[in-house]
Amino acid sequence: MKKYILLLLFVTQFSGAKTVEDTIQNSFKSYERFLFKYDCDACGCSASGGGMGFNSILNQNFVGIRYMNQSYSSRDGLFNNSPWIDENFNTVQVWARIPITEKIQVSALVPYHFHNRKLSTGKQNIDGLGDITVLGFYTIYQTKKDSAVFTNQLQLGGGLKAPTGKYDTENKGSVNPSFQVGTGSWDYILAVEHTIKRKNIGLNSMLNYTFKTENQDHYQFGNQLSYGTAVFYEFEKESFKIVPQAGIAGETYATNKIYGEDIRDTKGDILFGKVGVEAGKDRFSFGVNAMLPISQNLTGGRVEANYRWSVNLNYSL
Amino acid sequence: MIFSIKNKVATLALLTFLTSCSSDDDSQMASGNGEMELYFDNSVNGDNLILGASTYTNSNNETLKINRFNYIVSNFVLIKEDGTEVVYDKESSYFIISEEAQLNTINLENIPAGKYTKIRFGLGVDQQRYLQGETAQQSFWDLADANNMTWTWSTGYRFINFEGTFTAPTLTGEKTFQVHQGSNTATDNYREITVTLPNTARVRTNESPSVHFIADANKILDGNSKIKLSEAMNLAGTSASVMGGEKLMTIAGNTTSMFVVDHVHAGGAEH
Repeated sequence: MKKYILLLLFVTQFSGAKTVEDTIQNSFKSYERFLFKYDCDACGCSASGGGMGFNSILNQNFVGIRYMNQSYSSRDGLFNNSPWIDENFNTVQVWARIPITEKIQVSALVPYHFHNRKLSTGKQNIDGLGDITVLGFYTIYQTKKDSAVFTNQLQLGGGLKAPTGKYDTENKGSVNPSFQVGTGSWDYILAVEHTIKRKNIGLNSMLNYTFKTENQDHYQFGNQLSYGTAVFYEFEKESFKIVPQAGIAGETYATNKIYGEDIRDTKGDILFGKVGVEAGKDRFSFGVNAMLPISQNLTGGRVEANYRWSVNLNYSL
Repeated sequence: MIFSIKNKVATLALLTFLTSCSSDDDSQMASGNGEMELYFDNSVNGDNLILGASTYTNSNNETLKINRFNYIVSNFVLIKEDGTEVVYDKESSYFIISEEAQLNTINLENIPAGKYTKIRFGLGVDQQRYLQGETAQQSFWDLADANNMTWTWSTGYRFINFEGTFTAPTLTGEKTFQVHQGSNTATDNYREITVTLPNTARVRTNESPSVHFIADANKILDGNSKIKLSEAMNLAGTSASVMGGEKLMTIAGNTTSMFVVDHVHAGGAEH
């Protein structure tokens, strides 16, 4: 099992990303207005799985495939009358949570991104393998007694995000640096997950913090805190199970840096409301999730998140 | 088996931690020369300036539609973080920014490698240069002339050419306006402006930063001091013109806050 994870990590280092521009003339000046103002790491390549977490409530251990869509509107310029453009971030992700021992699990996320946006000068696409995240989780506490009224599970995790996605140097200075498939940096992640259940009802909460490092261009995305909590209910009938869930999820981003200096208007925060449902039969399960922003302040108000949604198909291990 | 997995994970984590902690070249003394780009983005009171299209109302309650916004910037001095000043070659240090001619970019060459945190420059042409006479600056004079930035040689350069149409509560209908800033025999209206960069502009032989200025045309009439176009009407009442006298000194004062640097792009960091 372990070998596969390592293999994934290293093989994928060698695949790249490519940028496609539909415009005939690369109008430098209008791209030029994009710049550093826009980018917190909210969009393209964050390690948190687009704020949707690393876990499934239905299955503790699984391999699966997940599609995520994130919609943003960004201001194409520095001015009050600059036009807003739509940005679409699409990710297909192989994700897994693999048991190693009774108390240890390894979680891996291998994303492939295909993003696009419509600039005033034409449509721009970027696609490629993203940054791979690998985390180890350790179960600190797990209610053992079947007779307990409440069952609790608390897990601590740590891991890293490898710069397997290409951070395109060519993009720097001409387009929004967060319009990337990778941050170009090795990032370190700490995570806590907690689930409390009474009979069929439960509360699942997670919190993770990502320490981001400087990439080869001396650009450093700000550290990121992600958190979320959701109430769920398990309907169970024979081998069939449906788990609706509803809650909130939030993210805060510290200021980005270049050569160690703060870059103005790059920090931000956002709070989402989320609803979802997971349905499982035998070893297969299917999930749908939707997130709508409740409040947000990203990059000085020049980027607005519209919505996020995802679907996934998992196979229980 | 279990133990060896844990060890491998730990080793991997440790290895990647170590490899990622490479140092940059900040500790080394930078040498050689590089380039710096200055980009002047013209705006009006927070809006992008679009000639002949955007109208806006200033705090004098006058509504302007701008048809021309040209100006001369000169005598660039790049200031390092330790206060050292690099004076750009004076002969090559006069430039025209013109929204209509899309002259927005200045390329400064042969800049000593360093970290620059401030830029000082002039708005207009200094007396010293002007007094060198016409032949000494023929090529710049011709360029200025082609961009409507001159009167006659004896009356000199226009530092700012700001024209359009406007309406005011005290006037009926749309009138034209012309604001031509410059020095004259009575007053020297050339001003030096110092801007602080929000991020260090790092110049290396292989790193050319780009400094993104925003110029706010609104500041000319609606800066610290106010000038009403409706009080500068010609006798026929068809047009406002501000081309001389006290008002030019007021404009000179206002323009010292006309420029800010919005951001600095790092240059190509390929090593």
